[in-house]
Amino acid sequence: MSSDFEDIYYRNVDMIYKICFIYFKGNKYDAEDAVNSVFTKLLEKNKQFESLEHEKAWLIVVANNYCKNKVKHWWNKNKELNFEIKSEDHNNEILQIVLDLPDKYKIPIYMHYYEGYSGPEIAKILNIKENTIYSYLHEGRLILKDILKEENYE
Amino acid sequence: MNKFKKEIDQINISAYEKKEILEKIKNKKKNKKQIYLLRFAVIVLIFMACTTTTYALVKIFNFDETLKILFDKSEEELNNYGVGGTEVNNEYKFDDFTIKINQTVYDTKSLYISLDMIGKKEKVYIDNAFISEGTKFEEFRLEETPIENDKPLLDMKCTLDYPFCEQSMALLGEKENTLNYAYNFSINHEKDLINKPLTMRFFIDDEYYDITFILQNNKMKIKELDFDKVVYNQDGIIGKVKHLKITPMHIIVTFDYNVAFEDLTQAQINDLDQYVYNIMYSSNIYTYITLQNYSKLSAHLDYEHDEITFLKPTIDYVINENSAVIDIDTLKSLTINGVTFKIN
Repeated sequence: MSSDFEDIYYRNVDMIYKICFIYFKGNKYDAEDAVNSVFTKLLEKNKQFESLEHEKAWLIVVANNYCKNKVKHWWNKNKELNFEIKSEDHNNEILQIVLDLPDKYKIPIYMHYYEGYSGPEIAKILNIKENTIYSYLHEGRLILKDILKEENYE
Repeated sequence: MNKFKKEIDQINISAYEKKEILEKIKNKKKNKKQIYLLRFAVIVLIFMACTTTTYALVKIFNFDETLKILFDKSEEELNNYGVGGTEVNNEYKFDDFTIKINQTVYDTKSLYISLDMIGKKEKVYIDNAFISEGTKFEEFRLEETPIENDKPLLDMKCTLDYPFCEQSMALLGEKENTLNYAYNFSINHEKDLINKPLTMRFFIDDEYYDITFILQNNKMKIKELDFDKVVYNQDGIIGKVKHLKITPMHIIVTFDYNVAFEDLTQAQINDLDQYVYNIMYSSNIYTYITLQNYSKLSAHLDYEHDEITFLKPTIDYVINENSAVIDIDTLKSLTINGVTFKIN
């Protein structure tokens, strides 16, 4: 096993963990398993990347696909995935709301607002039409707004 | 959304967990081979369990008879050996005649041989299906079932207490034709066929051809020797071994004589007789000797009753072929009139 792999691992593990964490609605055990599977796939494929961006995008796609398949699995469909995010120092209300969003909104919102990807970039990485990404972001924002209004969040 | 960012920032995996996951991934790769081996072992175990269960079921419900042929086909192999012809993938080609072995199936009680005779001959006799070396044949039955033949054949069905079956005749016609024969040899004692050659003799237009089947028990290997090193010598070269085939139990020798019988001296004829006699006597097994002109010069030897009968030639004939089944140790150490025959 080359040190290249370890470099890639340490460079991206936090991001992949976050994506998986969001997908699995805060279930850290499932998220850790997913991280394990995503990087195992990388090791098996022995993938060579053209740039750091390419590397990041590839891992996002793999994590996205893995989590999507996992969540769709019949076992997980019947499983309650509502974990409450607790933190001593911070209030995680928005994150909790994002986790409760339908799956299709979560990753575009994460990629846009956290990773700083633009609409066309997200569309390219996730292989979804640009307009669809824009509408996911828009609809996601509206849902968030409604929920926050209901909860009188300022 | 800044708050959202901050909250996302809090989602972190600890350094310890990161390291642990990395170790797991590394170990997964290391263990992959072991996993494959384990899978293979499990498959083998399942296969063995299935086989054992099937075997047990067969035993319990007495499916033996039904399945016997199925199993025996794979276990037993017949080795075909042609004398006087060229063996090419179970085809024995003679000058203008071919005998093609289609199928041989052996089980503990019978030997089934299906063969085609292809050629243009006026008549064919199928004779002398016998097992050499055997001593007792309580019931040896030869059945002939012609298949796909537009001309009627004489049935050949006989019960033998002597290992020679009398002739049957088939007309092949003047045109090129193919006859398909199927023989079923039923034998009471299953040991009779094991390790013993079975020879069928085909008389075709007054000539005959022997085909010897040797049952190879438990994957016995056949060792071929270099024929040229075997010299049959008495007052000069009379002939040398043409074919030699050795199994752990037998050696089958075909002699090729290149001297006209009329050119043989009386001493040489005597040597030949003596040679054959010695083979018979010292090998102490049932043996047969065939010479080309069967009616004129042949030696049939039946050791069943410790008797050897020679049909001695009274007039001169060319001796082209002579085949014998003898014990290998006998051949190695055979000495006739002071001449030792050796296989190197």
